[in-house]
Amino acid sequence: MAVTIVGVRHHSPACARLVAQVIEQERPALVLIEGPSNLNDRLDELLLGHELPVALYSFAVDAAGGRRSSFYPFASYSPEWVALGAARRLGATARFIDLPAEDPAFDDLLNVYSDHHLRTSTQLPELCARLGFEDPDTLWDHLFEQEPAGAPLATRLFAYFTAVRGDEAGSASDQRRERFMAQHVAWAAAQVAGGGVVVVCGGYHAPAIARTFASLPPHEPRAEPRPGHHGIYLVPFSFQRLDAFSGYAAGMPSPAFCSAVWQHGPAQGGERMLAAAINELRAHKQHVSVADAIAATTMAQGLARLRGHPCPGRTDLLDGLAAALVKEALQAPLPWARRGVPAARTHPVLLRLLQVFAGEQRGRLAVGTPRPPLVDDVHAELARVGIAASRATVKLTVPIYEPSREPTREPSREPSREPSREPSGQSSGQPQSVVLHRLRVLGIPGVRRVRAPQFTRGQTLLGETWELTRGLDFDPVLIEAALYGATLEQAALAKLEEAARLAADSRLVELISDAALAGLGGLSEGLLLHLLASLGRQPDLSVLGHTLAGLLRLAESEPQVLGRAALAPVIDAAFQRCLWLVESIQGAGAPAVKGHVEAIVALRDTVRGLGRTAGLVASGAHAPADTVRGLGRTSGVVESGAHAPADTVRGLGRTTGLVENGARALAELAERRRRDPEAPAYLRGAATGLRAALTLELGDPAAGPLSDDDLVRAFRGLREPSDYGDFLLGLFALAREELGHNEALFSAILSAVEELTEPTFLGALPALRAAMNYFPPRERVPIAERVLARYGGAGPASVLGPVDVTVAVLGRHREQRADERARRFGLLSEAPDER
Amino acid sequence: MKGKQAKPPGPPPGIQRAPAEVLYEGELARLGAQDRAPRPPGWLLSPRAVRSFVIGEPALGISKKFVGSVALVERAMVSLATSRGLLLVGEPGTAKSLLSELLAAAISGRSTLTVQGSAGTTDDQIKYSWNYALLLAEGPSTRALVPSPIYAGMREGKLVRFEELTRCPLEVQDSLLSVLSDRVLSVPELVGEDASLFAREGFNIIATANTRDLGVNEMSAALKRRFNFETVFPIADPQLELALVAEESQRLLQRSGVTTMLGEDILELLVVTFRELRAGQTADGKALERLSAAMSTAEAVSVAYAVGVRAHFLGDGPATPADLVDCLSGAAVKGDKDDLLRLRHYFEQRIAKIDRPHFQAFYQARHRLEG
Repeated sequence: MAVTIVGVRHHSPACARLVAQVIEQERPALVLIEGPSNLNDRLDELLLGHELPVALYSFAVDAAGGRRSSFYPFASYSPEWVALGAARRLGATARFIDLPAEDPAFDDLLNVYSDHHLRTSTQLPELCARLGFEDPDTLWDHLFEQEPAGAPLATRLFAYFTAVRGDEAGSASDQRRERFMAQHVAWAAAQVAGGGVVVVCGGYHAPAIARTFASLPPHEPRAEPRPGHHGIYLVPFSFQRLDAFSGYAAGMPSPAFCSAVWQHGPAQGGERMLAAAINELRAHKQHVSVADAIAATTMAQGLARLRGHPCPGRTDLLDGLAAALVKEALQAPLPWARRGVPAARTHPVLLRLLQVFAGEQRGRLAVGTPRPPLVDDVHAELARVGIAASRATVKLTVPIYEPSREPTREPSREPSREPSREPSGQSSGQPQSVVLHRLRVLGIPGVRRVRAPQFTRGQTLLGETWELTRGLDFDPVLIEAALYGATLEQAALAKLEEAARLAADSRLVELISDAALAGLGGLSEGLLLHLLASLGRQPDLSVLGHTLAGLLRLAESEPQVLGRAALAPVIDAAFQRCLWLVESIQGAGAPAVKGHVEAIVALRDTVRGLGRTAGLVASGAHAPADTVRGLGRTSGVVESGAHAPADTVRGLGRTTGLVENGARALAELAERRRRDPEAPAYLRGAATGLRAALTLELGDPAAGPLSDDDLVRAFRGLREPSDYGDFLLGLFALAREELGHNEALFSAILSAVEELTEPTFLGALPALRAAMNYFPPRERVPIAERVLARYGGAGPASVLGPVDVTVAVLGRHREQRADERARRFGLLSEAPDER
Repeated sequence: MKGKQAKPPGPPPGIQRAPAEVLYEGELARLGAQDRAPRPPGWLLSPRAVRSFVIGEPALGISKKFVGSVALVERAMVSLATSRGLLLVGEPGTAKSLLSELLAAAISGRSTLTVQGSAGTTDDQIKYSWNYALLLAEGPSTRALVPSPIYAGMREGKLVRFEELTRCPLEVQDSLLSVLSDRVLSVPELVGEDASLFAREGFNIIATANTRDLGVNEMSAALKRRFNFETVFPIADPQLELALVAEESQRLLQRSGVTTMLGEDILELLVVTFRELRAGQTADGKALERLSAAMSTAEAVSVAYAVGVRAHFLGDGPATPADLVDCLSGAAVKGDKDDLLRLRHYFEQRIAKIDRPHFQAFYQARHRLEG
């Protein structure tokens, strides 16, 4: 009896062809496949007639609640899948021979059928350099995916993998896996008296197995059962997810291309992909002429010939398409030149090409396949946290904070140096909230968050309100969502990761927050790094301001959903970028942009308490007083204006480079832009307000506080009355507390308004009104009373009641028209009253 | 203009810079003798031999001349062997002209058929002009015709280099259309078979354009169609770039008689600053504001050269970070006010935070940026 070992690269069509051919030729009694041996009793599940790609999804939960999971993805061109099919067709017995899926050896492997060995191999880079290839994928394609003349594929593969393995012993888990597989081979070989054995396993392991199995005693290997809960299930998979594995989890790139090559052979498959790419580009309104198509084909063939390929391979095709179709300079290198996520600014045509080569095929499980574990996991999770989902809509209020722990003390002017409550983690509502957030992330119908916790003064809501309905589509959508994972946690994680790949900066902050709320802090931190890289390229100040404000909200959220240490560098980067963009706003006559003003508010907030807490934690100092301050402000417990003593704040601030540098840079910026004649009115207003706000906040020693004189001069220095409103809008947005009740400014405004003519007043009115919007009603009334007093009126201003500005303006217009008409008919001799 | 005319090969003594086919005559001859692979019509070497010539082959004693992607060189060669022209685009100073010179030298044995594009380039520099004395005396004849590099390249089946294509006015660029698509140049003044010059096998055009000039004279869609675009990127590997800058600046300094060499820390400061400002990203992935000036490797070499010369002739001792700051504001910023702002921002936000002595010294010298 003969044992034939076929070392393969997972997901390689050429290896799949070889496997089919060897099994056909050898007609073995046994086909042994690298795969989880605990599934051997359930192999029939794999052959129910699924639409590929599908994957085996294995997970394990240990006693401490730690979770790990991994995938064994199968596409039609996977050598393992082909081996299973061929064995079934020829009546051979198929068996998986690797360690059980829950074995700790797989703990760090997200994709068991990945190429991580090829990526960690020390031999491979040398091999690439020696043969003149820039990356291992190109080398592989060159050596194996074509059908070059010369030695048979099996011989060449063996030589390649022996060279790649070199004399590496492999990691401890690799050695355990290889011992187990070799033992399995030794046992199986003894079981079949006649007939051969074909072993299909990863090429990296093949030399080790081949070397050892013959000397092993023929008994069946046993693996230690792992304590805790674990399972393995089939789930539908997709080409996109197969392609999206990155880093050590990555396998062969471009599944659609592989699939075409598997179905139609290298030459025809390549041609089909070329045509598919051109059609796809045309469908997206890219102009691809017949001449371009010819040029792409010619280029691909030329490159194939130059590189010594019998027909164009993957990179030949992609290179050819890129050279012929992209008619401008690229901002980033061709994305297939190296592994990993394409760089920012990669040309959209190239991204589209990659997408075509990755394909959109989605797998589907055959009817009767055991239900994906996600469905049961979701119901188990709901039961665990005590939520009952039913056909009827249930309204749930999830307390995030326990009321008894809430500080109930009176608003006090005495700053407290003690934290008012424990930092986080004490709330009883959290597990429910996490489960519901995960369902929401997955887009399960019938799960709606009606209200989020709010800390706005007057509307404080210390819990979330949800509506939950288990409608008819609840379970079917869950089954589809099984694509993302077998447990609720895993699925929510994968779903967010997918969304994050395409997200713009401001959306990314939402995703980071979603991830944090769904208890996926690790993902949030990964996304933060992603955001960190892209922030500095954000050209739009409004978007950036929105992002910064979102980050600050995350930093101050209680209970703490995300570590402030992780947030600090991102806030710092957004802050620096914002500074730069504010520096570059030009155009004296530019209309007010609300987003810009809000960005400046976010800048102010960063150096105020909120950002400071983040910075402090990052630098390792303790921040009790600051925490109180940040919390107080947001929860409205501490009255606004109850500032901590300035020296405490300054002392704390100084311990962090971020805050001190940032506050200084921001104050300087404010001073510069406030005097800049090229700055638009709203920016000068905002800069003036910022300057005033920072004076109070930090007691800037260099410049001293902003005097009333400075303030009035800044206002009177505006060129056009239409600028008044914009200026005040910026000013009050930044420093309502500091300047909203300044007498000098107040009378300067009134006298300026008095000088306006009717039409200019009407022109300036909307912006003026918008500026007053920054005052809460309670503060607007005293202002109105002061105005009344100035013009001899008296009494409570509230009698004026709310007046709709459009009604008021319309009224004045009508009055004016009536006056004009009256004058025309001689009914009114004298000029109409001015206002 | 600067359109260089062909000269007979052989290294004349005392010239400043010999063309590649002269400089590497021996290597080309060795490759030619070894070369058994099929050659496209009109090529002196097979594409594989050309690739070895450009990216080096230690086994044959062929030096590495172009530090960049191998796949790029392959695509460039295949473009040249097809019916489209090759347009190398990229930031200034990314060795586009070097690559085009190497390709022309290896493929045609001659890199001097060159049109230098500029705002003043005219039609006759692309097609042909006349020797007016002969024209008046004899009437139009091939003898009276003064061929342009393109005319010569078509007649002899050689590659023609067109430097800085986008610096030329649009209508001048467009005289390449019929040359590239029909491969024919008509000379209406002549009659008979001289009235059309059909390109011989081996003729093609390698144009270069830098991305800073795109948009100055945008190319017509018709012309774009006739070119394959290849983007040449700055050197990806920081160590490789550092080594290149060190080596090149050393060579230049030696030629100027400077004996004190630049310290490693100065070179590191220079290369780090250039790379980060060029990429708009710090080495650890934080985004920055990019400079509008091209922070190319070539520019880094010239700044390093200037620093060395300055320290040697004006300073008293080896170059310091302060010398580097002085040279940066003149050489890199080139009087652009916004770039100066960005550079200052970079010092404040980045250099200040690198806690190493030479970076701190560099930061301390930032006031010299005012220039």
